[in-house]
Amino acid sequence: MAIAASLTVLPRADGSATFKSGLTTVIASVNGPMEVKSRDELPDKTFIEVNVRPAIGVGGTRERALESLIVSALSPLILRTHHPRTLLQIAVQLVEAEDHSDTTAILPVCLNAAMLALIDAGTPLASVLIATTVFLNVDKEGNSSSKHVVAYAKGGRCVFAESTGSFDEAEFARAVEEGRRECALDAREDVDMDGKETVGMVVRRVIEKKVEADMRWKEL
Amino acid sequence: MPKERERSNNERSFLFGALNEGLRLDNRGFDCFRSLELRFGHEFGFADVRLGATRVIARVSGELAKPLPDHPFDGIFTIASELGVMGSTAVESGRFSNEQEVVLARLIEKSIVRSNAVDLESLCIVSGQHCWHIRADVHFLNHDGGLLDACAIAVAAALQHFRRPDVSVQGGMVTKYTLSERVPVALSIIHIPICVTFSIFGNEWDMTLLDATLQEEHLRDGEMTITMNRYGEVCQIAKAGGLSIHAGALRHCIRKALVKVEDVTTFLFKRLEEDQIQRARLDNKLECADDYRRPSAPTNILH
Repeated sequence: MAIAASLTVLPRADGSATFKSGLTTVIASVNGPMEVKSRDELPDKTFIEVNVRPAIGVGGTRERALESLIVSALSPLILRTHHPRTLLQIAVQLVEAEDHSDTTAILPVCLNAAMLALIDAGTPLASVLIATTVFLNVDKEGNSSSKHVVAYAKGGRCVFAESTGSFDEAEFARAVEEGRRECALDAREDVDMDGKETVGMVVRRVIEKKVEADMRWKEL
Repeated sequence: MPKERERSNNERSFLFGALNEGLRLDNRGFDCFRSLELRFGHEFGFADVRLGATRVIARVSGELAKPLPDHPFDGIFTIASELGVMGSTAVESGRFSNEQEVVLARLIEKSIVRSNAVDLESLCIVSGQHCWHIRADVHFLNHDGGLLDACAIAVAAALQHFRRPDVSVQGGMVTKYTLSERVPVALSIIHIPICVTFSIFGNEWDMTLLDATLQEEHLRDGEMTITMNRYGEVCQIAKAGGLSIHAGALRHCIRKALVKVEDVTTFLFKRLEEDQIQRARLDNKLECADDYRRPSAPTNILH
């Protein structure tokens, strides 16, 4: 599954990123902290607004569900008390997808893109989130008994899990462990990836490149 | 929702001073478009247009629908083009929040839908019962001026690129084949309307610029959009208010627009051909692979 990411793709947004996994491509942009509408204003925190737009159509229930999942995954990681009475606007645009109706495949790509955009925007964050989908018991035709979208923060802690299908506790634990391996930030941890890059490594590489470019002035 | 920031007097006088000396701030000619890039996706009907820093993606999709009661022999073609929060922070999601958006959507509709660019009769399957509803979704990713121009190019490219599933009618039953069962069919496109926007600046002598950047858009005194195809047929001219322009200058603008439209259309066909070659190469590679199985997907049957 070819994974690619790039930062600062949109010049006018505070932060933006593209995340591509296989045939699914998502662009996310972050604007803020900025002026908030008085009805959304929170006296002690930033108000986070997520907007998901599908590739085809104007968006309905499925997109609202994606929005609420993204908010619940990212809100705890953003240091919201740093900018009270402001708005943080995250916009996610689905560009291409293998199957537009498959939320389980699209959700981790959206989460990763949104997280990269937040980093690109310089939003105060407590941790970086890496997400992936784990398919359990995949048979010859590519069908699996259950699909799990799992996301990990610092130290390999699982902070988000959204599952569909039929599974028991042991299988769920297996999925979480499998996901932790796939999202590991580097190969030095007690994981064993047969040479290929994990999602975490791709994200890390992209951020390192950006920091290197931004800190060029230090070498002068 | 922050409004777009107003341009300062310094910016205004600098821009006007430069124009008076025949210079544009990005050193383009007055009649030059910014660099145009066009990319297609792996799915049919996806076009990504970059006009300078402005970035627009268009996606064409089709689904089966019932024809409108007063047009039983025609299919349906709609374009959805909301500005969205990604393109510009001064916009609220979900509804048209300012006049500019409404004008943009209406001009796109006038230029492409109402100029009969797509042959609606060819979209009819069974008159009065089944037809194709072709839908173009435009997403504005970055707004640096020239949204209408970029949008028209993107929609035109996506329409040309799109392939709809093949259908067959037997008795009263319509069978829709998947993309892998039967070769998908291109849309029947009558002509390709391209929009060219002129920005009018009033100085000692009026001057028009082509393809304004966002800064030039904010500082202009008037604007005019001419939509035409490569055959020199004018589809629509929109000049709503703003600084007035002499009638002779208007004809001059139309001639300038024709040159641009021909250039853009030639470029569009060239990119389509390149994409076609690339796809054929990829298809051949896939079919020669050892583990390639011709997929047998179920068909979609309607009454």
